[in-house]
Amino acid sequence: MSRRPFISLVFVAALTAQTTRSVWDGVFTADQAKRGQEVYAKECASCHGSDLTGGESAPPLAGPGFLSNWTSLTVGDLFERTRVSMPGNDPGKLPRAQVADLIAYLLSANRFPEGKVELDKQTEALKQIRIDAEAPKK
Amino acid sequence: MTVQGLSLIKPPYATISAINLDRGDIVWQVAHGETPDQIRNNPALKGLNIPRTGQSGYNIGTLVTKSLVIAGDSLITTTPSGARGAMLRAYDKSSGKEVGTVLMPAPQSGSPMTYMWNGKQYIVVAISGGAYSGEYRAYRLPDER
Repeated sequence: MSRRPFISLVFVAALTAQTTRSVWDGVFTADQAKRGQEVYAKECASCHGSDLTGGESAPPLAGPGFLSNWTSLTVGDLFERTRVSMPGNDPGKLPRAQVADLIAYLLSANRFPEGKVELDKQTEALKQIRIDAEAPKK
Repeated sequence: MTVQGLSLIKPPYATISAINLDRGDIVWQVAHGETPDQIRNNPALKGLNIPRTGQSGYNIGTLVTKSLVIAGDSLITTTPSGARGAMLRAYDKSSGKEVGTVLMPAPQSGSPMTYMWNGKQYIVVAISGGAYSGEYRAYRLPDER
Protein backbone atom coordinates (compact mmCIF):
# COMPACT_ATOMS: atom_id res chain seq x y z
CA MET A 1 0.00 0.00 0.00
CA SER A 2 1.40 3.25 -1.07
CA ARG A 3 1.49 6.06 1.37
CA ARG A 4 0.02 9.34 0.37
CA PRO A 5 1.76 12.38 1.55
CA PHE A 6 -0.18 13.88 4.40
CA ILE A 7 -0.62 17.53 3.95
CA SER A 8 -1.95 19.54 6.77
CA LEU A 9 -2.77 23.15 6.86
CA VAL A 10 -2.25 24.88 10.08
CA PHE A 11 -3.70 28.21 10.77
CA VAL A 12 -1.93 30.01 13.49
CA ALA A 13 -3.85 32.68 15.25
CA ALA A 14 -1.99 35.74 16.28
CA LEU A 15 -0.69 35.07 19.73
CA THR A 16 -0.42 38.66 20.70
CA ALA A 17 -3.50 39.93 22.41
CA GLN A 18 -4.91 43.00 20.75
CA THR A 19 -5.86 46.00 22.78
CA THR A 20 -9.24 47.47 21.99
CA ARG A 21 -9.04 50.86 23.71
CA SER A 22 -6.45 53.40 24.77
CA VAL A 23 -6.04 55.74 27.71
CA TRP A 24 -7.37 58.50 25.45
CA ASP A 25 -10.82 56.93 25.47
CA GLY A 26 -11.93 58.14 28.92
CA VAL A 27 -11.29 54.95 30.90
CA PHE A 28 -11.73 56.29 34.46
CA THR A 29 -13.96 58.75 36.29
CA ALA A 30 -13.12 61.98 38.09
CA ASP A 31 -14.47 60.58 41.37
CA GLN A 32 -12.29 57.50 41.06
CA ALA A 33 -9.19 59.63 40.41
CA LYS A 34 -10.04 61.71 43.47
CA ARG A 35 -10.20 58.57 45.61
CA GLY A 36 -6.91 57.47 44.09
CA GLN A 37 -5.31 60.76 45.00
CA GLU A 38 -6.07 60.04 48.66
CA VAL A 39 -4.49 56.60 48.35
CA TYR A 40 -1.48 58.15 46.66
CA ALA A 41 -0.98 60.73 49.40
CA LYS A 42 -1.11 58.05 52.06
CA GLU A 43 0.81 55.21 50.42
CA CYS A 44 3.01 56.57 47.63
CA ALA A 45 3.90 60.24 48.02
CA SER A 46 6.63 59.69 50.60
CA CYS A 47 8.83 58.01 47.94
CA HIS A 48 7.43 59.24 44.60
CA GLY A 49 6.88 62.82 45.73
CA SER A 50 3.70 64.75 46.41
CA ASP A 51 3.80 66.04 42.82
CA LEU A 52 4.62 62.59 41.32
CA THR A 53 8.03 63.75 40.10
CA GLY A 54 9.89 60.91 41.78
CA GLY A 55 12.53 60.81 44.45
CA GLU A 56 16.05 59.65 45.05
CA SER A 57 15.15 55.99 44.71
CA ALA A 58 11.70 56.14 43.12
CA PRO A 59 10.91 57.00 39.49
CA PRO A 60 8.51 59.74 38.42
CA LEU A 61 4.87 58.75 37.97
CA ALA A 62 3.90 61.67 35.76
CA GLY A 63 5.35 63.44 32.76
CA PRO A 64 7.71 62.30 30.00
CA GLY A 65 9.88 60.24 32.34
CA PHE A 66 6.89 58.12 33.28
CA LEU A 67 5.25 57.95 29.87
CA SER A 68 8.46 56.97 28.05
CA ASN A 69 8.69 53.83 30.12
CA TRP A 70 5.02 52.88 29.85
CA THR A 71 3.92 53.86 26.37
CA SER A 72 2.92 50.86 24.22
CA LEU A 73 2.27 48.78 27.33
CA THR A 74 -1.19 48.38 28.86
CA VAL A 75 -3.01 49.71 31.88
CA GLY A 76 -3.15 46.08 32.98
CA ASP A 77 0.66 45.98 33.05
CA LEU A 78 0.75 49.15 35.13
CA PHE A 79 -1.96 47.81 37.43
CA GLU A 80 -0.16 44.50 38.02
CA ARG A 81 3.23 46.14 38.52
CA THR A 82 1.71 48.40 41.14
CA ARG A 83 -0.46 45.75 42.78
CA VAL A 84 2.31 43.18 43.15
CA SER A 85 5.33 45.33 43.99
CA MET A 86 3.97 48.43 45.74
CA PRO A 87 4.17 50.02 48.23
CA GLY A 88 7.84 49.21 48.58
CA ASN A 89 7.68 48.67 52.33
CA ASP A 90 4.68 46.31 52.17
CA PRO A 91 4.14 45.01 48.62
CA GLY A 92 0.71 43.66 47.79
CA LYS A 93 -1.11 45.22 50.70
CA LEU A 94 -3.47 47.35 48.64
CA PRO A 95 -6.73 45.69 47.55
CA ARG A 96 -7.53 45.67 43.85
CA ALA A 97 -10.15 48.39 44.15
CA GLN A 98 -7.68 50.79 45.73
CA VAL A 99 -5.03 49.98 43.12
CA ALA A 100 -7.59 50.73 40.40
CA ASP A 101 -8.35 54.08 42.06
CA LEU A 102 -4.65 54.80 42.26
CA ILE A 103 -4.11 54.03 38.58
CA ALA A 104 -7.05 56.29 37.75
CA TYR A 105 -5.26 59.07 39.63
CA LEU A 106 -2.01 58.44 37.76
CA LEU A 107 -3.85 58.58 34.43
CA SER A 108 -5.55 61.79 35.51
CA ALA A 109 -2.23 63.33 36.63
CA ASN A 110 -0.80 62.49 33.21
CA ARG A 111 -3.67 64.44 31.64
CA PHE A 112 -5.52 61.60 30.05
CA PRO A 113 -9.23 62.36 29.73
CA GLU A 114 -11.74 61.17 32.30
CA GLY A 115 -14.85 59.28 31.25
CA LYS A 116 -18.15 58.05 32.64
CA VAL A 117 -17.18 54.53 33.64
CA GLU A 118 -14.74 53.62 36.39
CA LEU A 119 -11.54 51.77 35.67
CA ASP A 120 -12.01 48.04 36.14
CA LYS A 121 -10.15 46.21 38.89
CA GLN A 122 -9.61 43.00 36.91
CA THR A 123 -6.23 42.72 35.23
CA GLU A 124 -7.47 41.00 32.07
CA ALA A 125 -9.95 43.80 31.36
CA LEU A 126 -7.25 46.39 31.94
CA LYS A 127 -4.90 44.64 29.53
CA GLN A 128 -7.29 45.72 26.78
CA ILE A 129 -6.39 49.37 27.40
CA ARG A 130 -3.21 50.54 25.74
CA ILE A 131 -1.05 53.32 27.14
CA ASP A 132 -0.15 55.80 24.41
CA ALA A 133 1.86 58.85 25.37
CA GLU A 134 0.60 60.78 22.39
CA ALA A 135 -3.02 61.46 21.55
CA PRO A 136 -4.29 59.67 18.45
CA LYS A 137 -4.25 61.75 15.29
CA LYS A 138 -7.69 62.92 14.28
CA MET B 1 6.62 73.09 32.17
CA THR B 2 6.07 72.03 28.60
CA VAL B 3 4.69 73.68 25.47
CA GLN B 4 3.36 71.39 22.74
CA GLY B 5 4.98 68.53 24.64
CA LEU B 6 8.42 70.18 24.60
CA SER B 7 10.29 71.34 27.68
CA LEU B 8 10.97 75.05 27.96
CA ILE B 9 14.56 74.15 28.81
CA LYS B 10 16.87 73.92 25.82
CA PRO B 11 18.52 70.50 25.44
CA PRO B 12 20.72 68.71 26.28
CA TYR B 13 18.47 67.50 29.07
CA ALA B 14 21.31 65.59 30.74
CA THR B 15 25.07 65.49 30.21
CA ILE B 16 28.12 63.64 31.45
CA SER B 17 31.03 66.04 31.93
CA ALA B 18 34.71 65.34 32.46
CA ILE B 19 36.33 68.10 34.50
CA ASN B 20 40.04 68.70 34.87
CA LEU B 21 40.27 69.27 38.60
CA ASP B 22 43.68 70.95 38.33
CA ARG B 23 42.45 73.68 36.01
CA GLY B 24 38.72 73.56 36.57
CA ASP B 25 38.09 73.15 32.84
CA ILE B 26 35.47 70.95 31.26
CA VAL B 27 37.55 68.56 29.12
CA TRP B 28 34.59 66.99 27.35
CA GLN B 29 30.84 66.90 27.71
CA VAL B 30 28.31 64.61 26.06
CA ALA B 31 24.53 64.48 26.04
CA HIS B 32 23.82 61.23 27.85
CA GLY B 33 20.74 59.26 26.88
CA GLU B 34 18.88 58.72 23.63
CA THR B 35 16.47 61.44 22.51
CA PRO B 36 13.10 60.55 24.13
CA ASP B 37 10.43 59.32 21.71
CA GLN B 38 8.07 62.16 22.50
CA ILE B 39 10.77 64.64 21.51
CA ARG B 40 11.94 62.81 18.40
CA ASN B 41 8.38 62.28 17.20
CA ASN B 42 7.06 65.69 18.20
CA PRO B 43 5.19 67.26 15.25
CA ALA B 44 6.59 70.71 16.12
CA LEU B 45 10.10 69.40 15.32
CA LYS B 46 9.20 67.70 12.06
CA GLY B 47 11.92 68.21 9.45
CA LEU B 48 14.52 69.35 11.97
CA ASN B 49 17.69 67.43 12.67
CA ILE B 50 17.88 67.39 16.46
CA PRO B 51 21.14 66.02 17.88
CA ARG B 52 20.94 63.55 20.76
CA THR B 53 19.24 65.42 23.59
CA GLY B 54 20.02 63.20 26.56
CA GLN B 55 17.28 62.35 29.03
CA SER B 56 16.02 64.05 32.11
CA GLY B 57 15.11 61.67 34.86
CA TYR B 58 16.25 60.67 38.23
CA ASN B 59 19.99 60.71 38.65
CA ILE B 60 22.08 57.72 37.74
CA GLY B 61 25.58 56.74 38.68
CA THR B 62 28.51 56.05 36.38
CA LEU B 63 31.22 53.42 36.43
CA VAL B 64 34.71 54.75 35.71
CA THR B 65 37.52 52.37 34.74
CA LYS B 66 41.08 52.97 33.58
CA SER B 67 39.86 53.77 30.07
CA LEU B 68 36.05 53.97 30.04
CA VAL B 69 33.05 55.75 31.55
CA ILE B 70 30.00 53.47 31.59
CA ALA B 71 26.42 54.53 32.27
CA GLY B 72 22.92 53.49 31.21
CA ASP B 73 20.02 55.52 29.89
CA SER B 74 17.33 56.47 32.37
CA LEU B 75 14.36 56.14 29.99
CA ILE B 76 13.04 53.51 27.61
CA THR B 77 13.12 54.62 23.98
CA THR B 78 12.45 53.02 20.61
CA THR B 79 15.44 52.04 18.49
CA PRO B 80 15.48 52.45 14.66
CA SER B 81 14.67 48.73 14.40
CA GLY B 82 11.54 49.20 16.51
CA ALA B 83 12.88 47.46 19.63
CA ARG B 84 12.20 49.24 22.90
CA GLY B 85 14.69 49.43 25.71
CA ALA B 86 17.41 51.51 27.31
CA MET B 87 21.05 51.62 26.27
CA LEU B 88 24.03 50.85 28.44
CA ARG B 89 26.78 53.07 27.03
CA ALA B 90 30.56 53.09 27.24
CA TYR B 91 32.50 56.30 26.54
CA ASP B 92 36.22 56.75 25.99
CA LYS B 93 37.34 58.36 29.23
CA SER B 94 39.82 60.65 27.52
CA SER B 95 37.57 62.02 24.79
CA GLY B 96 33.92 61.26 25.64
CA LYS B 97 33.51 59.42 22.33
CA GLU B 98 30.90 56.66 22.57
CA VAL B 99 32.70 53.37 21.95
CA GLY B 100 30.03 50.77 22.69
CA THR B 101 26.35 50.23 23.50
CA VAL B 102 24.16 47.37 24.67
CA LEU B 103 20.35 47.47 24.55
CA MET B 104 18.85 46.57 27.93
CA PRO B 105 15.16 45.80 28.50
CA ALA B 106 14.79 48.51 31.13
CA PRO B 107 16.65 51.63 32.30
CA GLN B 108 19.57 51.60 34.68
CA SER B 109 18.30 52.03 38.23
CA GLY B 110 21.56 51.64 40.12
CA SER B 111 25.21 52.37 39.46
CA PRO B 112 27.10 49.78 37.39
CA MET B 113 30.12 47.99 38.85
CA THR B 114 32.73 45.69 37.39
CA TYR B 115 34.65 42.64 38.53
CA MET B 116 36.88 39.94 37.11
CA TRP B 117 36.18 36.22 37.48
CA ASN B 118 38.09 33.35 35.87
CA GLY B 119 40.03 35.79 33.76
CA LYS B 120 36.96 37.51 32.31
CA GLN B 121 35.78 41.01 33.03
CA TYR B 122 32.10 41.49 33.93
CA ILE B 123 29.90 44.57 34.22
CA VAL B 124 26.86 44.23 36.44
CA VAL B 125 24.09 46.81 36.52
CA ALA B 126 20.73 47.16 38.26
CA ILE B 127 17.81 47.85 35.93
CA SER B 128 14.09 48.42 36.34
CA GLY B 129 11.37 50.57 34.89
CA GLY B 130 7.96 50.39 33.33
CA ALA B 131 6.59 46.90 33.77
CA TYR B 132 10.09 45.51 34.27
CA SER B 133 10.78 44.61 37.89
CA GLY B 134 14.18 45.31 39.34
CA GLU B 135 16.98 42.90 38.55
CA TYR B 136 20.73 42.77 38.17
CA ARG B 137 22.20 41.98 34.77
CA ALA B 138 25.80 40.97 34.18
CA TYR B 139 27.53 41.45 30.83
CA ARG B 140 30.87 40.30 29.50
CA LEU B 141 32.47 40.15 26.08
CA PRO B 142 31.88 36.94 24.09
CA ASP B 143 34.66 34.37 23.98
CA GLU B 144 37.19 34.87 21.21
CA ARG B 145 36.91 32.33 18.41
